[in-house]
Amino acid sequence: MQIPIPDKLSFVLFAWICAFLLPWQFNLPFIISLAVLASSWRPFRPITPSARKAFFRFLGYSTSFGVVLVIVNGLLLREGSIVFKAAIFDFYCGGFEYGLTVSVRLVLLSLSILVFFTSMRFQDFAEYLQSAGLPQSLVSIILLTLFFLEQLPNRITQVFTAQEARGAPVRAGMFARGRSFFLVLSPLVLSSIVESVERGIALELRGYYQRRQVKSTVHEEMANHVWLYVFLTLSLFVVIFSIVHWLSR
Amino acid sequence: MALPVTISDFSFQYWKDAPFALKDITLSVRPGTICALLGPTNAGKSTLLQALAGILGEHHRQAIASGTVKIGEDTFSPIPRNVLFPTVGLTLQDPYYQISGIRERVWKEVGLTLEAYSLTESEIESRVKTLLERLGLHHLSERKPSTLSGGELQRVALANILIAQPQVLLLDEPCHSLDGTSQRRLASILCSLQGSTTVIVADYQLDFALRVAEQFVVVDTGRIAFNGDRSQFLTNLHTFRSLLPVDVLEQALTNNAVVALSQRLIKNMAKK
Repeated sequence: MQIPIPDKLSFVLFAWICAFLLPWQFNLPFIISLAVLASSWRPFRPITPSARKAFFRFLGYSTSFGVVLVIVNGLLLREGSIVFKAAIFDFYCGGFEYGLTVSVRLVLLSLSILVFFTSMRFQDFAEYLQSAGLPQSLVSIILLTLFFLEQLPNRITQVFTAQEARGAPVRAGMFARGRSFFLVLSPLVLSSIVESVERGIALELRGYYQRRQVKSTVHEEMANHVWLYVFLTLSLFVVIFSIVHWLSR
Repeated sequence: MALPVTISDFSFQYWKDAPFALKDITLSVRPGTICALLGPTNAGKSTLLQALAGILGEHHRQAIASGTVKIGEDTFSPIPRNVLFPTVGLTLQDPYYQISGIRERVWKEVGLTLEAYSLTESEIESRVKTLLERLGLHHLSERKPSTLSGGELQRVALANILIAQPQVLLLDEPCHSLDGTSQRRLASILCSLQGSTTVIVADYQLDFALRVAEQFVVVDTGRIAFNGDRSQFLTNLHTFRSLLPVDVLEQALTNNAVVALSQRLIKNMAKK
């Protein structure tokens, strides 16, 4: 079974609404079930081994980031009762709650996007955008950005290898690795902008922007999108629930 | 059908008060011939090609240009303001940028060019297959474009343009990342276009230019320093010592390859 792209987009919308409107007690199980779905359910499973690797690596990093955020907030945000003491440090309940809310929200927002992009081919996404009637230039901007993101890990590895070859200790331990990553990132991003412009010109030279506008076919096919209606209904339900909950407080 | 290219008194500055990127260029390329545009870096070769393709006029609206460009029956004064593809096809210096990144197989990447036209998928597939076979790229058709080597990318980039059958083909340093074998392959592809396509090759490599071109134009700091045929060019070779890697050619004159080339040249002259 494969879920069409509009349905997946509606799932991302649902995840974002949940991330912003629901408490962490709901969103944390949501993240766990999303991770389980991404490893077991075909429509959400990453389509290539590298995408799968990137997905689970991101999950690992984001969990570590979330734990750090919770600990720092528990330590620095002195609200509510003290949960526990460790040597001279006091950890507060309010800080933990805030840290959990923020980190769970961030992880859910990014994870839903990651599930969306790793579980389909860029080409299908491009075709969907064109069929939805988006201008060619906008489609190409989105695709060039996605292509850059796909190439980024390889290019970082290449730069690291080149630096290692001339004796720079870029992979010597976590600290050196982290420092080198941030040093490499900004020139890579800048070069990617230049590269995108060049690639855009090359596409223009092939007449890409002269293509006829594709007639939107999205509305004609809407009847077949069961999951779209399911996720939209759930999103609506979450919004109504949040409004009612807010009014009744 | 190949189109003639005529450039008259063409000058170009990227902005007001900027130095002239091209100055008083007057050049005529006969239809169906191959013209080599030679010169050191920053001589203005790429600027001239981009002006002919229309990309310069499209993206540098503030530029100062004068003169006339004529491609076939169309006269542009001073330069085309829109990309002229598919009449004029241009491949850029770095083939890496010419891969769109939005198609996952080489044959689909090449077919992307044809998606602008009202063709069915099977028509596109068959046209691409024929071209890839002609260019000796059929073994790469199922490969992912981002995994290709420099030489393979260069040929795929050329296929991306050739698939639309341009009447004028402009190549900006096509040997940039090619080894000897790939250069020979590219040369034979270009020679096969003679008669059907007007080709202008901008390069700094003399040996490649000598392999393919009939007309030789040497550009220096935006001006034409020489314009003539093969024999005139070879006669005047010593005058370009400061502009071109002439030493390399002179050294190679002792090699069999160039001896063979000279023999071919003599044969051609005898035929004439």
